[in-house]
Order: sequence, then structure tokens, then C-alpha cells
Amino acid sequence: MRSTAGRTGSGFGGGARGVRRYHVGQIESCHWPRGGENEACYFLATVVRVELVLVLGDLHIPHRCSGLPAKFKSLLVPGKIQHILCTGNLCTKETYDYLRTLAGDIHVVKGDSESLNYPEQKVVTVGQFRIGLIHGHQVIPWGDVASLALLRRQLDVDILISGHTHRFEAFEHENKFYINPGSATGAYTALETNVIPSFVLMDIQSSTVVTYVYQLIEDDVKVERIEFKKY
Amino acid sequence: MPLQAAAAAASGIEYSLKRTQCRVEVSIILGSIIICKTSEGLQNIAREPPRRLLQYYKYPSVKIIGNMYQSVSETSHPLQTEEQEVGIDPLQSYLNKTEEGGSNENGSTQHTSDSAGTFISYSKEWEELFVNNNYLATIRLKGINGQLRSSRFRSVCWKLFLEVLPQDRSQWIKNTSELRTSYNKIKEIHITNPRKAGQQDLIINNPLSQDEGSLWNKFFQDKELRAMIEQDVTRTFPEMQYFQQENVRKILTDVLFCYARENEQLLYKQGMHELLAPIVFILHCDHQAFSHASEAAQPSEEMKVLLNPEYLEHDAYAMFTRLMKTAEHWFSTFEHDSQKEKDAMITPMPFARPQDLGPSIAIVTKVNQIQDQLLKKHDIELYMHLNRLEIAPQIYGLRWVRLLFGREFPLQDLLVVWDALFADSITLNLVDYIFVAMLLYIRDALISSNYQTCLGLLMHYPPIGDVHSLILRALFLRDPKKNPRPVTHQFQQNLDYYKARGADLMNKTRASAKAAPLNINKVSNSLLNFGRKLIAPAMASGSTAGPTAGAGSFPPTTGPTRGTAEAPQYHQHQAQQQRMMKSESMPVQLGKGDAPAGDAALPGPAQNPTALPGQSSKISSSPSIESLPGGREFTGSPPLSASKKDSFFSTISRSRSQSKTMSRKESEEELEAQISFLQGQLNDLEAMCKYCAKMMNTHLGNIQEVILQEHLEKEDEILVSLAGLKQIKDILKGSLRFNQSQLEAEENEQITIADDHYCSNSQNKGTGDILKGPVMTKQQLISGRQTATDSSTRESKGADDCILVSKEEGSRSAVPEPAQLLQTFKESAVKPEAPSRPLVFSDPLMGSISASSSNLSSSPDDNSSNNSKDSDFAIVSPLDI
Repeated sequence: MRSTAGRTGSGFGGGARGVRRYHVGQIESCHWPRGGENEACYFLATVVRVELVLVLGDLHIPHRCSGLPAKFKSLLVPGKIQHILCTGNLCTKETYDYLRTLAGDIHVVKGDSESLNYPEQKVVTVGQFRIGLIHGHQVIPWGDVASLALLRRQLDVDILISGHTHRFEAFEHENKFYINPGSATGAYTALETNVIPSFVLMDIQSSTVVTYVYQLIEDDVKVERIEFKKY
Repeated sequence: MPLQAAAAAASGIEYSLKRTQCRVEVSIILGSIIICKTSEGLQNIAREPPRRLLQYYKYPSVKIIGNMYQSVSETSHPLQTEEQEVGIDPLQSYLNKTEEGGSNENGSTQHTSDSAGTFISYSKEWEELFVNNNYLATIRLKGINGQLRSSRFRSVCWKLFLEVLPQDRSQWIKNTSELRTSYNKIKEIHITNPRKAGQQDLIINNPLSQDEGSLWNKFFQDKELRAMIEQDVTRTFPEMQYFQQENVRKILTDVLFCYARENEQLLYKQGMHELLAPIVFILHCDHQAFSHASEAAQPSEEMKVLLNPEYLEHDAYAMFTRLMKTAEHWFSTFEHDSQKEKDAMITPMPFARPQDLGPSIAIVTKVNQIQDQLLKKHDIELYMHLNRLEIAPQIYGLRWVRLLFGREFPLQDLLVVWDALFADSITLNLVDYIFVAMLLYIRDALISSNYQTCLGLLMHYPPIGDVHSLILRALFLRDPKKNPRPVTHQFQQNLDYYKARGADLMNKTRASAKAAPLNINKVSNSLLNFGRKLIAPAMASGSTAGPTAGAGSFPPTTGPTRGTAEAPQYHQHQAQQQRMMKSESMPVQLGKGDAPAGDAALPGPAQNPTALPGQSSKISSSPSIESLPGGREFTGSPPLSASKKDSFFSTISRSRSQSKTMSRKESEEELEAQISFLQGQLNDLEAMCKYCAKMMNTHLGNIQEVILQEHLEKEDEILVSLAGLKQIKDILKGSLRFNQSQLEAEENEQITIADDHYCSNSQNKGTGDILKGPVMTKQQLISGRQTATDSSTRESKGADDCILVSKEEGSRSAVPEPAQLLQTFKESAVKPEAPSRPLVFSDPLMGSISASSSNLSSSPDDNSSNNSKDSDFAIVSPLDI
């Protein structure tokens, strides 16, 4: 029932706001064409297809932070990640260029202190999942679940990613998934006293998203794993 | 010698025939061979569905190569297996294998198959090969003798050679299934699913983990390795449709991946894919043959298991690992005795060659050893030469050995080489000797060339006519006592021939071979088109003059009478021609089979100097042939440039004579043999054309120089004519496009030229100053055309001839009717000649020239002076118009 409501909401809401929609599935670099597996069914399936989506934002380089923590930087190497979803506040082109070195497919939305021009919000499709991307300063009150749910219905997405609060959050609400990757640099914000640098990596499988949360707690990278299944 | 040649050719044809029956895709490799196949196919036509019939009819045309590729793509389609297998008739279409027993009986095989039509079933071949006590020795012998070429059980043989299958036949099934299950296990082990890790220890098992024990990390490493392998796999045999298929690539990648994971030290090295690909290919071929055979007959359990297409990958892996056991140290880059090496690096030997200094990698040591010991032993001269040029063996040898010559031969030949390599011994020690044999094959070319050419030759190994001779030679090199002196002594003779005179020429042909793609099947389209055009008119106008031209009815004494100045050039021609005929005439003789005419007609042009067919071509294309006293033709030698052009046109006459015999004999089999012959000739002709173009270029340059110095008053016309000749040269060279209309125009011109030339000759002096004839008329023609069509062209005569040519092209295309043009030209040409005739007659100087020219002394300078004189009276024509 809820999902139908959400869909109707998006009918006018999404159209009126002119949300950009991206289909990632076509861009992805797939290892084997899907047809090949059917043709040679008697061959063992050899390759596991993995699609990793890096979610991060609020870097505020160079205004509030000098750069990504070294531990994060060493983790983030090219060749593993297929897509990057950024909640904004990269602030400079240099940061954007750095992210480009990690993955070819990068989607950024506009933050509140952005020097470059990005779209306000984006809808990206990865596998079976529609993912909405917004910085979050537009959603008032900031980080409020009900407001985010409203926006999610408008965008008609399965996963809504927002930022701005500099606090990692990942929760399921009404069978939909909400992610706030926090600040990857642990940049200062007025609302948080103790900002923990964090980012999120989504391993998107057919109907499941496994979310790995990387947090830098006292100079150690802690990893959490959250699974979300689409119904 | 002819016997051996015939035998060699016979094996070639026999091979192709059988191959065809098995699978189309196999035969794509050698263009000429493919064409031979049809004979067998035609017998099948009655049984074939119409579509196949159509396919057959396509073959006799020269388009075949294009179709071949098409057929390959058809073949490879998984759903079309039945359609593709042209000529596979499991019960009937196989040749009698017993004929193959002795290596020298090859020649008779084909005839038996055609005449007697004895067929043997698929299973009978199996029995022939594997059901007897000493089968292993038999198939080894067959492998070395190149008789597995057409076998449908090559993969089984290879398995035996590589010891994938035990010698005991009862163990075959058990052994095979063991190997297959083990591969399944290996494969399972090496598939990493990082998600299996689940929630255990997230610090280690997370996607970004760089921990050694992390599944994710392993997964990404695998991915990287796979990407590396795939990069090479996608480039495996790009010319073969089979390897373009996604599932084939997948097989290759998986096998290589598993091998790399099983041999962590070695991992994957570039080049391994080239070793695997032929294995996969023969497995596939045998599986195809099997699936066809099993449709009709009930195959034995053994066959079912061994040739189960589902296990292609497994079998390929098993064979590949066995092969790599021998080959792996050629791929390893580990340094032996690194300590010792370090010492050596610190105190390098004085005067050490660069190849001795580097770290001693196994493969480098090996190739060095081959060159330093084997080559030194067998051919010190070549060894010294290579040393002098400082061509280290690893420059070329690394690839030769690592890929087991995979890049030096076309696939079909490569398979034969591998047959021998594997059959000989699993240690592959024949490699060294084949290496040397290959060097010896091109030794003369190497010795006579500089660093650059040498490298070119070694890096792009020239196409080799008979691979089997190479193997025989390798065997002989290894053990001269046990192995007979190779049949290649005919080939050896060839080499001597080159040594004496043709080294330069050899370079040329090699160079052209280099320029053109290496494999025959890769013959450029332009050549094919060219060939088609060359043949088409010949077919159409199979004139009565044909047979006389081809049968060598001209007095052979003309050869020796040639002047010394010109002799070397002719000899070069001759050398080339003979070589051409040696290699190419074989299939034809064979194809003709018992037909006595074939023997008589074909060697004819081969033994006559090139100039003779050249002349004859003129005759055959000229309507005035009958009016011409034959002897006169040969009293004089045509100017160099003309002779080159003649030799170019001689091909037409030859093909014409071929077509003539063809029309006489209705048998299809001969038709194909003819086509294959022509095809082969075309290949050689291309080389010849290139050579002619080069020579023409130099001589034209000389002429032009002289003319420019002389400052003749009618210089313009001569220069324009020279430009025309240059255009011809460019056509010969192939840099100028040559299309059908051009050919027709050209032919017409040729006829007219001949016409005028002979008329003027007979009218002029009767001594036949051919030297002047063609050139003069040529000039007239061109200059006449020039003035008639585009007078502005002449203004640019001093300019670059390229521009001139292009203009001429334009002007020619602008003229609506070539006939019209010819008309105008004729008028112009004939008119001015009338006053010139008495002049020539009365002029004692001219008479002496004609006399001297009959003595055939003509250096380029002579030519040019003659030319200028000719043009003196010829040039009036364009201005008259």
C-alpha cells in the first residue's frame, strides 16, 4: 500500500522537480556478457559478479579538513569500486578529480557549500535498486526520518542517500533503506561535537544490498555490515 | 626432383580434401588449399541440400576467401553445427586411410579417392589409428610425417603424445574422467565468492580489505589476473572467427586462469594463450567431426567419452598443463644462480656480447645455446653473420620458442609442426632443430641483407611453402644418420639458386611478403580483387592463342642469346619464375593427375625465361599474331621497362592458357586444381609485380635523368610518356588502384600497342626493333591521349609524377568512351608513322641499332637513347592532331 502511494507521489513530485535519472546498469563494466552463461550452461560458473558502490560526502576539503584520513586513502584503491555516489560538499574540483581516479562512474549532488555546480538531487539505478541521492540540507528538519520518507516517496526510490549531518546513519524505514554516510573526513559541523570520519560501501546483489560502514574510531578502521533486502 | 615435388604437392592436396570433409573452418587457413577442396564436395553435391550446393558453387570463384570467413562464422554458430560441416558424411566421405600408410604414397591417395571413390567410415579411421598393438609408434610416425593433418582424431593423438592418455587403452576412459573431475575441483577451488565470507571478521573480510587472507582481496586479485588474461585472449588469432566467440574466449580464460592459480610461481605469462589456443581448436574440430559421425553411426564408448564436447575445457586444461610442464621454464623469468649472476654483473667479461651479460633466464639461455652451438655447427657463415650484426637470438627466438612457432606459421601449418613436435617427444627437443631449420630456410636472405632486413625477416618470418620439409630438415639436423637427407634437397637447390643470383630478388619478395600480411589466408583484398579481374577477362576470352603460349612453343635458344648486360635481370626473373613454378606448379600437376597435357603444358613457362611468356602474352592478346613471323619476336630484347610490363601481362596469357585447357576438360576436379594454381600464382605474381615496379622505377629514373640532361626539344612528350610508365609502375606496385575498367582500358591499349608495334615493325625493317616498338607506341599513346583529353597535363610534365598521374587518371575517367580515345589515338599514331618509315629504312644508324638490339645488348642508357630517338619521330603525332 505504501509503495503505491509513494509511486503516485513521484508521478507529479518527481516530474515537477525535474529530477535527473541515471541508469547505471548500462555503464557498468561487466565481466562477462550475461548471455554467455546461458549458452555454455555446462561450464561451471566461474566469475562472481560484484558491484560495489562507494557512498561518501561532506568532505569539506580544504575548508574544514586537509584531506581524507590516511587510513581511508589506503583503503580506497582503484579497480574495486564501480560507482561513486557523493552527497556533496566536495567543495573543490581537486576532490572530485580524486574521486574520479577511484571509479569511472561518479554521481555528485550539490551541497550547501559547494564551489562547483551539481544537480540538487539525482536518482541512480544500480542493478534492481533505485537510489535517490540528495545532500540533505534541503530536507527540514535536517536528518528527520519523516521528512526523508516524504522525499523518498516523491523520488520513488528504494534507497535514499542523504548527508549534511556529518553523522553516519543507516536504517530501514517502511521497508525502504536510508543511508547517511556521514563525513568522510570527519569535518567540523555545528551540530556535532565529535564527528567520526565515515563512509559507506554498498555491495549490490540481485535483490540485496550489503552495506559496509567504515568508521575511523581512534585511528582504527572499524567495519560494520548491514544487510537490506528488497521485497 | 619432380617426383618429390609431386609427392609434396600431393600431400598438400590430399590434406585439403580430407580437411574439407571434416570441417570447413579448418581449411580456411590456406587460401589455395581451400579451393582444392571442392572436388570432394562436388561428389557430395547430389546428396547436399540446395543451400550447401550453393556454397559449393561459390568455391570455384576467387571470391572464396571472403566466403570462407563467412562460412567460418557460420560454422562457429552453436546452432548451426549441421549446416556448417560441409561434406561431412560419416559413412562415405572419408578417404581411404590405408593409402596414407607410407609417406611416399601420398601422391596416389587423391586419385584413388576420386576415381575409385573408396570411403572409409569414421570409426574405421579410429581403428586404423588406435586399434593395433603398436599404435603409439604408428601415430608418432604419422605425426612426424605430417599425416595427422587431416585426421579427425588429432586431439586424441596429441593426448597420447602429451601423455594425457596412458598408452594402455583400457585405462583411457578412467584416466580421462579422473582428469576431468580433477579439473572441476581445481576450478571450484579457484572461484572466489567473497560474499561467502559473510559476517565473519569484518575487519579482514570487507570489500576494501587488503589483507592477504581476505576473500575479497583474493577476489580482486583474481579479477586483475583475469583481466590480464582476457586482454591477451581477445587477441588470440584475431583472423579466426572461432576465437572471437565469447564462450571460446571464456574457455581460454578459465583454463589459463586455473593454470595460473595452480602455478602461483609462474602465474600467467603472455604467450601462454597462444599455446592453448591451438589445443582448444583441435579439440573443437575433433568434437565437431565426432558429433557428425555420431549422428549416423553408433560410436564406441571410448569415442563418446574421449570426444565429448562438454569436456573441451577440461581436456584442454589437461593437455595444456602437460605441455606447460615442458614449456614452463621457457616462460619463467626467474634467474638461475642469482648469486653467480650478481658476480658476473660486477665483473663483466670483456668483449662479452650483450646477450651474455643479462641475467640468465632459462629461455634466453636456451636460444643462445641454439644459436651458439647448433647454428654454429650447421651453418657457421650464418652464425657469423648474425653475430656480426649483433642480432641476439632472444630478439626473435624468444617468441619462436615460447609460442612454439605459433606466430611464424599459419595455423594449419602450425598444427603440422606441433604434430611433429609432440609426436617426437614430450620434451619438445625438436624445437631447437626446427629453430635452426627455420634459420637455414632463410639463410641466404639473411646473409645477404643488412641488420634491418634481417630483423624484418626474423620477426616476420616469411611464409613457408612446405612446412613438412622444415620438419624433415629439423630431423635431419638432429640426427643425420638416422634420418634420411630431407626431401628438401629440392628446396636446397632452390636455395642455391638464390645464393647464385637471387639474393637481392629474394629480399624483394621477402620484403613484399613482409608488407603483405604473412599468411596466405590474409591475402589482402586488393590482391584478391586484382586476381579476380585478372582471371575474369582471361576466362572470358580464352583465346585460341592460349595453348600455344602456354605450351612453350618458342625456341628455348633465345634465352642464352641474351646480352650479358641484361642477363642477370632475366635470370632473376627466371629465378623467381622458377621458384614460383616449383612451388605452384606442383598442385596443378597433381590436380591434373594422369592428364598428360598437364605435365607438358605447365612446366613449359617455368623453364622458359620469363621474357618468353612475356612475349607470348603480347601475342595472345594481339589480334595480329598470325601475321607475325614468330622468330622475329625473339631477335630483339624489349626495353627493360617493357619486359617488366610484359612479364606482368604474361600472367594473363598463362591464365588464359589455363582457362583454355579448362574448357577442354570438363572434369570439375581439374577446374579446382586450376583455380588453386592460379590463386597460388597470383600470390607470387604480387611479389613479382612489386619487384617489377621497383626495377621499373630505377630504370625510369635513369631514363628521366638522361633525358633531362640531354635537353631534347621534344622532351615534354618523353616526360609525359615516362609519367605514363610511372603510372604503370604504380599500378604494379599496387599503390595506384587498379580496377576493372582500367584493366579493360589497359588491355585495349595493349592490343593497340601490339598492333601498331607489329605493324610498324613489319613495315619498318622486318628486323623487328622491338626495343623501340612498344616504347614508342606507348609514348604515342600516352602523349596522344594527353593532348586529346587534357592539354594542361603537359604543362606539369616536369612536376611530380604523382600529380601527373592523378591528372591523367582524371582525364581518363572524364573521357566517356575508351574506344573513342583509342580511335583518336590510332589516327594520331598511325599518321605520323608514315613519313617516319622510310627514314628508318634508309637510316643506317637505325639499322645498326636494330642489329645491335637483336644482339640484345641494352643497358638502361641504351634504352633511354633509343627512346629519345624513337620519340623523335613519334612525337609529331600529338601535335598533328
